[in-house]
Parts: sequence; C-alpha cells; structure tokens
Amino acid sequence: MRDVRKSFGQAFRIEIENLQVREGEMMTLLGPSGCGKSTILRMVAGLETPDGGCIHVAGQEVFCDGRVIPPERRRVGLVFQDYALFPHLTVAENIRFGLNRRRSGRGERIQALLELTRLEALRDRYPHELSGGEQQRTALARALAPNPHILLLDEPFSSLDAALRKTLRSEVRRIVSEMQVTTILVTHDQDEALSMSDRLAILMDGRVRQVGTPRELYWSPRDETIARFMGDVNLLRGEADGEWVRCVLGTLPIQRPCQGPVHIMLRPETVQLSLGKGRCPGRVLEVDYFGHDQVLHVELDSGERLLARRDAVQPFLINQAVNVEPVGIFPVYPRAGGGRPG
Amino acid sequence: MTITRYSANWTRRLRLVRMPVGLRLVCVLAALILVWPSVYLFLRASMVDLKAVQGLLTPGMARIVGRSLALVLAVNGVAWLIALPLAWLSVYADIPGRRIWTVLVALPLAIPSYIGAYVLIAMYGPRGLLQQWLAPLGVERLPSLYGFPGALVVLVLHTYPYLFLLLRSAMRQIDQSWIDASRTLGHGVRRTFWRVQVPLIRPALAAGTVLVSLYVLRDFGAVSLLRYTTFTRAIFVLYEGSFDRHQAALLTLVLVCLILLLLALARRVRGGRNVQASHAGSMRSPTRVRLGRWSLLAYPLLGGVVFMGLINPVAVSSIWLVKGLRAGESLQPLRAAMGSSLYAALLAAVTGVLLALPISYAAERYGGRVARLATIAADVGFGMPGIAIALSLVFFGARHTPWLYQTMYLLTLGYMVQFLAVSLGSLRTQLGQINPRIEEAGRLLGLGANGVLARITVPLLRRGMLAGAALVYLNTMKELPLTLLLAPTGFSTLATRIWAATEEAFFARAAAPTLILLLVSALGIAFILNTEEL
Repeated sequence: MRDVRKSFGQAFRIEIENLQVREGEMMTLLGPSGCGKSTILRMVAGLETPDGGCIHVAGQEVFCDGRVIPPERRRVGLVFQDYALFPHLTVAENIRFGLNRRRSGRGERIQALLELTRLEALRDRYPHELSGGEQQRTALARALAPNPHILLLDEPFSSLDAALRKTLRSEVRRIVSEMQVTTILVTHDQDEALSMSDRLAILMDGRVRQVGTPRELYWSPRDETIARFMGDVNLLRGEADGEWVRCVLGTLPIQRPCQGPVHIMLRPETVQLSLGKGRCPGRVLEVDYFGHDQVLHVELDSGERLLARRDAVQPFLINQAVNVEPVGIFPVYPRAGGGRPG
Repeated sequence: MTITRYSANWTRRLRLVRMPVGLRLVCVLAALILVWPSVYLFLRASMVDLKAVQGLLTPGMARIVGRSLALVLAVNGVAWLIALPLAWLSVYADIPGRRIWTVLVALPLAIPSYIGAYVLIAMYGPRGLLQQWLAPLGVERLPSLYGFPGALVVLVLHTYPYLFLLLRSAMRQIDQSWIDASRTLGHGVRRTFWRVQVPLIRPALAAGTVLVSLYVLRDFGAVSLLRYTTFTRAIFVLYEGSFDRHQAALLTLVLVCLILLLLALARRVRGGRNVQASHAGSMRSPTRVRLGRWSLLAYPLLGGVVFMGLINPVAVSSIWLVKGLRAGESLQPLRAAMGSSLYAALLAAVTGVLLALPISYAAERYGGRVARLATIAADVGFGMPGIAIALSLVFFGARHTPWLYQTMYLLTLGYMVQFLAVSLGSLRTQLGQINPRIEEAGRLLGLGANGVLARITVPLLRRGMLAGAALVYLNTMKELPLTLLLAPTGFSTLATRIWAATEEAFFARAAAPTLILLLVSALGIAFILNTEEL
C-alpha cells in the first residue's frame, strides 16, 4: 500500500505513505476509534475507493490512481465488525456462498472449515440462532472459504463480552495460523493487538505513526503519545548526556544517545520496589490489586509519583516505606526547551 | 414488532393471575358475535338441498371463478411491475424529494376502490370528461373500459401500495454490509442481487401477493361499478334478484372458503423464517445510486402513478362538482348523507373502542385461550369480505331477529365484525408499551383492580384509544357493502351515495361526496404516518 490518500471533507483525511504487510504474517492496525482503521480495510477490500495512491494485494495491483479492480475480483476476505452473516442462509450455506459452483471438492472444503472452526454441530443453524462467538467463527470460515490472498479482520472482537473475547483471540489466532493466510487485524484494543500480532502499525489521525513488533512498540515507542496509548507509563523529567540520563531516580541508561532536557519513559514493570531504606526512598500511596499482579502508586520523597507493577505475591501496605529501583534501558523524548536526539 | 415481543414476555409472567370471570365472559361473548356471521353462513348453506348445490356446478359458476382468478393474477402481475421499481427507487435511488415521493406513491392505499372506479368512469367512460372533450373532434365512442380492463386498472391502483410498502421495508432491512460481504466473497453486483437481495425480499413479495389477492377477492365497489362479475358482484346481483337467496349464500360460502385459505396462507408466510439483522450494531445505510439516463424512466413512472392515484381523483371530482353546481345540482341531500355518515362512523368508533378495551386487556395482560379466541375472531372478521358479513347478517336478521333487521344496531354490529380488529390493534400496541410493573405498583399502593384500571391503565391508554377510535371512524366512513345491505331503509351515507350516483351515471352528484371521502382518506393516512413513522 503506497501513497494512499482519502479525504472526507476538510475535517478528516487518511494518508498512508507506505505500509507493507509481509506474506503470512498477522499485522495489526491499532489506533483510537475514528482514526481511519476500518476505512483502510475497506479500501483494501475495494468497498471504498481512495482518492489516490496504489494498493497491491499479493503482488497484484488492485488500485492505482483511478484504476480500480472491483471487490469481487480481489480475493480479499473480510470479517465484518458485525459479521454481516446472510440471515437467510444457514452456517454451511454462508460458508459455501463464496465458493465457486463448478469447482470440485466444495463439500470437503466446507467440511474442513467447519471442523477447523468447530462448527460441525451447528452447520444447519441460521445466524440468529447462534451466539456471538459462533457467529464470529462462521464469519471467519466464510471469509476463509474462497482461499483469499489476504484476510481482513475488522474489530472482530468488539461486540463480544470480555470473557469470550479472550478465548476467541487464541481461537482465531490458531485458525489463522493453521491456514497460513496473511492477515490484517484492525482494533483499538492494545491488549488484543499486542497478544495477537506479529507486527503492529500504530495509526493516528489517518497516518501511520510507527510500525514494529509488539515488543518494539511496547518498549520503544517513538513518541509520548504512542507510549501512553500502548500502556501505563511513568514519564520523568531528566537531563540527557550521551547514553545516560540524570533524573530523580539516579543516572539511567537510555536507548539512543541524546543531549539536553528530556522525558524518560519507564514502564511500571521496570520499576522494582524493595522494602526498607535505599538510594531512592518513597512510600506506597495506593494499591490496585488485580490477582495476577498489582499496581502500586508510589510517592518519592522528592515529590514525584510513579506506578510500579509487581507480582501479586509480595504484600504491600499503604504508607509503607519502599525503595525504588528501575531496571532496564529506557526511551527518552525531547522535552520542550531544547534537547535533540544525538 | 419489538413491542409485541416485549408484551409477550410480560404476559407470560402475569399468567399466574387468573383472568376475572367478567372479562372471560366478555371475551367469549365477543368471540361468538364476531364469528357468528361466518358460522351462520355455513349453517345456512347446510340447510340448502343438494339440487341447489348442483346448481353451483354450472358454466356460470366456472366463469365467476375464472374471472376472479384472472383478475387476481393480472392485478398481482401489474402491481409487481409497479411496486418493485417504486420500492427500489424509494430506497436506493438518489432522487430529490425521496421522502415526499414515497408518501405520495403510498397514498392511494387509503382511497376506497369504488372511488377509483367512479373516477375512472367519470373521466374515461361514456359520457365521461374525456368523451365530452373529444366530442367536438368527432370522437363518438371511446373504447369501453367496463369489465376486465377497468377493474384491473382500479384494483392495481389501490393495491400496489401494499406491495410497495412491504417491499420497501424489506429492502430497508437489507444491511449494506451483507452486500459488501458478498462482493468480497467474489460475487459481482448482478450475482449479489440474485443471491442476497432477492432472497431477502422474497418473504415480503409473498406476503404482499397474498395481501393483494385478498384485496381483489374481497373488493366489492370497483368490480360492481365496473360490471365485472367476480364473486362479490355475482353475490350482490343474486341477492338483489332475490328469487334465489340460497344461491347467494352458497356463492358467499365458496368465496369465504377461498379467503380463509388465503388468510391461512398469509399466516404461514408471515410466520416463516424471520429475516432479521444478525447483529446488534447499527446498520450501514445503503449507498444511493445516481440514476443518470434511467431517470427518463423513473420520473414518468413516479409521475404517472401519482397522477392516476391522486391527481386524477381530485381533479375529476372537482371538475364534476363545478359542472354540477353550474347545472343547478342541489347540495341539500349531501348534508343528510354527511350527517348519516358521521353518525354511523361515530357509533362504530365508540362501540369499537369500548369493545376492544376489555379484549385487548385480556389478551395483553392475561393471555390464554379465551383471549386468543377473541382476537382470532376479530382477525377473521377483518379478513371477511364486507359483502359476506352483510349477507349473513341480512339472512339472519330477516329470519330470526326482525326487531334487529334494518336498524342501526345491526349495522353497527356489522361494522364491529369487520373493523374491531383495527381498534384492537391500536389498543394492544399501546398496552404492550405500558409496563405492567406500573400497574402492580398501583396495587401495592392500595388501589383495587378496578382502581388501577380507572386511574392508571385507562389514562395511560388514552392515546391508543383515540387512535383506535379514529381508525375505526375513518374506515367506517369509507365502508360500502355493509352499509348498502344493512342500513335502515332511506339511510344513505356518502359512500352509498357515490355508489348509487355512479351506477346511474350521475357523475356530478357523486363529486362532492367523493371529495369529502378523499379528504377522509388523506386524514387516515396522515394519522397512520403520524403514529408509525414510515
């Protein structure tokens, strides 16, 4: 996808300079609602026409500056946000819909997909007789049936409740990796994006802001906005000097050499706490206990506040004195008033 | 739809409470009265000896059946041809004033068919306007429109709106994302149309066809004025001839059986698979299509339909009114007819609501077999042809209850049999919207059952009662066959006046009542649009 543009009046436009999805990978477009993610999917599918640019699917040009290949000839599978199952057809008929009538082996293909999505028992049900998760698996099987070059998932979990979402994520991941199909997933849920994708593209205001693996995006976000979007952050003022930064927590190593006033970003997971006095004393203000872990709000004696995520085993009390010690190499962002990357 | 579904849930919870005996009694009585005309027809027919039954198997009878079926088929065919493109235009086409067109095109629904027949004859018939205008040009005769062609035109004009509205709502329920899904699965626009859109509107098409067929079979006004002898006209002619009323009864019975068959079919079609959106999310609205060159076809269609269905009736009756006034036609008899119409309609409206109140309450709050019996009886009455109800009541009244025969009581009874379902419908929807917990709260706050009814339910029901009364009122104003056969001697309403005047080709005399009834029809549609948002 290159130089794709689409504007909606003056208020909003999408501009993608270059976005490539590698064969067989699961790429996630992650962004806040209204950033144009779904529109991008619809442009890839051919349901929306860009104002300019080029889109290639599996090496074949499907759109380039006005030359349009209609959606039915693109071999792109799309799982709609609301699934859009045909209400007048059963599960099996929905899956059969996209299969060529003359092609042999249609029955086996449907059977295989039903097995893959664990829908054999429901093959003769109508969509309104299915639960949300079953509808979703039907939609997935339907999209996969014609063997698409690329599979697009448009917020596939947004209309399901939290408990179901978790199990379905791994289910979908399993199905997709079994089919070895290139996939683009659109979501606004960063947990979903991190856990499901090989690579992520962060989309904000119609532009791609950063592309990378989940690990890269979580630990080395390009700017503060992305850092916040990907999870909880601690941003501390500091002075950078080469590969080190000085801040209230002492002198810490940074990811890229830099000079001048900066913000240093520490994920709560990197903030270690020990009981008793130390170099960086503070006290516990609040404890958010989640069961699998806990988040502690810590106030340093210098007045700064920090979040620390610790395992759930060690008990902490409110007002308990702790010593703070960050572990790792951290990204920094230039602060207003100078500082440029070295 | 959702409303009734909710009410069904509520009903189930309340069923623990037993229905009071009084209410039970009212329901049973009402059910008996409502089905009596249909039952009496069967009784009456069973009294007929075999020779008369053999009389049914004549070529004349075959002709009647043939003509009726031919008309049903033809009207359906033409109505499809009109309604399908109209529905498509109103949902998908990018035409200016789409909403207004939609309303205008649906309007002829409310106009009674005998007015359509009157307008057609007064315009294009012998001694009609067209003939008069063409006379100076030496045109002596116009091709006759009596019989099949006239009946076809009029009935199509008044039935296609049913198909149109049903198709339109089915098309509007087609989610654009289904179409998108089909495209991404490799089907082009045309294949998508056949594999997604067509199957989804098929139930509406079937339901519409049944409705149109029912309308045609039941219609009395148009076919009798245009002298096309289908069932209803044959029945009326036999009755008027009065030398053999058995024949009329038998013929009515055949018609009623046909209609019951269709009604059962209608139930099955409606009870068929529910096409519903399979998701909670909002629907993507359809992409509107620019018409381009096709507008050359679209606008004439829209214009033609609106002209024939709306402009023509108003214009023709206005012209005849002016002609009549110039020729010294008196408006005096009109005032009497107007008074009778208002009186009869008011009587029916009030009775209708009073009767519907206990039945709707029983059906919505208690449910159960007795209540269902009453509502089904009302539905059956609503489905009966007016002429059948009228004839049955005439037979019964004349033979067993001469003190009722030719009184307003019997006429009102006839109206109830025909129209109670209308007021029942309004009240039931309204009741379904009132949460029964409110009534229970009233009980807990110290009101008795009657106190709750008087101080909570009825005040909350006011809108539904008004709507029900108004709908019965408007329907009664337009009613023809019941009024014609059951009204006391000398009691002539606007409807019977139009009928009589057209029969005798006094077109000017029918003009004023027609205009009044057109106004009534418009009010009816405005009312429906107001309550249930097209």
